[in-house]
Amino acid sequence: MNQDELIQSAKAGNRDSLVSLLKSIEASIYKTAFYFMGNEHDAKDVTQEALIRIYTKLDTYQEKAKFNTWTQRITTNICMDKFRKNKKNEVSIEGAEISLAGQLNVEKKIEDKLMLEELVHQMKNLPENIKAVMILRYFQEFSYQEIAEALNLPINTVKSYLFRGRDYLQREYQQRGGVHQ
Amino acid sequence: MINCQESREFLSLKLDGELNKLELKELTEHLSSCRSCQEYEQRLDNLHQDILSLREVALEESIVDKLFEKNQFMVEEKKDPSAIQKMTGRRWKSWYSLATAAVFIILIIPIVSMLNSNENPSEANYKMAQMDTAYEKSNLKSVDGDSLGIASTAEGASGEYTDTGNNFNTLTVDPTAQESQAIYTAVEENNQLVIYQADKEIYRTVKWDKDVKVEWEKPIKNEVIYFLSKNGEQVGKYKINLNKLKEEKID
Repeated sequence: MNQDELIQSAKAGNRDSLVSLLKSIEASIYKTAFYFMGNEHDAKDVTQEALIRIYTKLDTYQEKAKFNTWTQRITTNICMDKFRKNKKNEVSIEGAEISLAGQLNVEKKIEDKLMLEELVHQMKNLPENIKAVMILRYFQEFSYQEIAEALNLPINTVKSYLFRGRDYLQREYQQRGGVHQ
Repeated sequence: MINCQESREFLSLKLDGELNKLELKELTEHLSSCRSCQEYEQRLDNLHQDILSLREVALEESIVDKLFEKNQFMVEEKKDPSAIQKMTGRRWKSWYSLATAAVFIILIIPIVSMLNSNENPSEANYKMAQMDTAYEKSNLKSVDGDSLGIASTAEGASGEYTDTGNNFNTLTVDPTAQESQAIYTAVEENNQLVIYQADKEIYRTVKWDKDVKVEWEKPIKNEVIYFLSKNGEQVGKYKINLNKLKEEKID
């Protein structure tokens, strides 16, 4: 079954289809959540919550929007809520970020890995809307149009946020050495 | 002719392949004579490559599998932060009060335990009638005030029902919780359907006959519906309201 058929089948109550559908998207939800929250623990919480919400709201999904756009919208919304809540409670997530290098799965030298950790850390600290745009562009490979739909932003704002996100990072990240000299 | 600010914005667009021919030409022209923007382009390209090299991040174990573990289902509840939530003993002293009732539940695989019955049909029917009567009696008992003890006060004429005594554990919930998603588990134990919320028992149905089979179906909103059947015939259909922790017979 292709994704559309899977969705129809799941909507009709077929449990196996539902499970298959959710399994087919959980990795990409986790990816967005991980880069948004900056740590594995929060990313898993967000992923679980997003999967539940996607399931419970499946009836409201109409085919006009693309499924991925819809699921990423839900994911980023949950990320933003949780991130704000964490900040409010001053939950310390520094410790949770320590072994990012392991999560990153990248074949690089240790120093490079540390620099990339720094990059993830910087990304995490971007303003939430800019961060969301950057994540959807880089990690979900969404087009400008898809980003605009997912986040309910005008396309020009998407362009502007991408510029600002990159501009900020090239300054902050490079200041700490970056991977390239 | 474009200035440095515009050229830098163009560089960002260029990374995404979003520059038209004219814009690309203007950018190239500017870069050919602007050292500062050339260096900016270099840093931007480096950053771009580094972010691209970050892509792989993986879930070691499927979260979907965990969510759909046998007997588990999820309910999304919005709780009123001022709600009192302490319940002890056999009777609920107070209720959850919910701000909204937007609740959905996922289905579980039903548990089946079926033993062959040696009784003749008329005896079986009599027992079923008794179950229904006892059930209705217990419902009536629970109407007064805010006591809820359904399962524990059921004393059917048939004597098949045992006073289940301390059914309900003390349950306290953080009153400041604005919204929570609880994971519930439904398990058949001792011919009763028991519902746990995050490992704490929150509801236990009336006990049924030994040779009665139970099945529960895909819940709607915050209600678990279960069927009792004997010898392949449905003998009762009940609905458990998870917010009120109360059940009633339907059909």
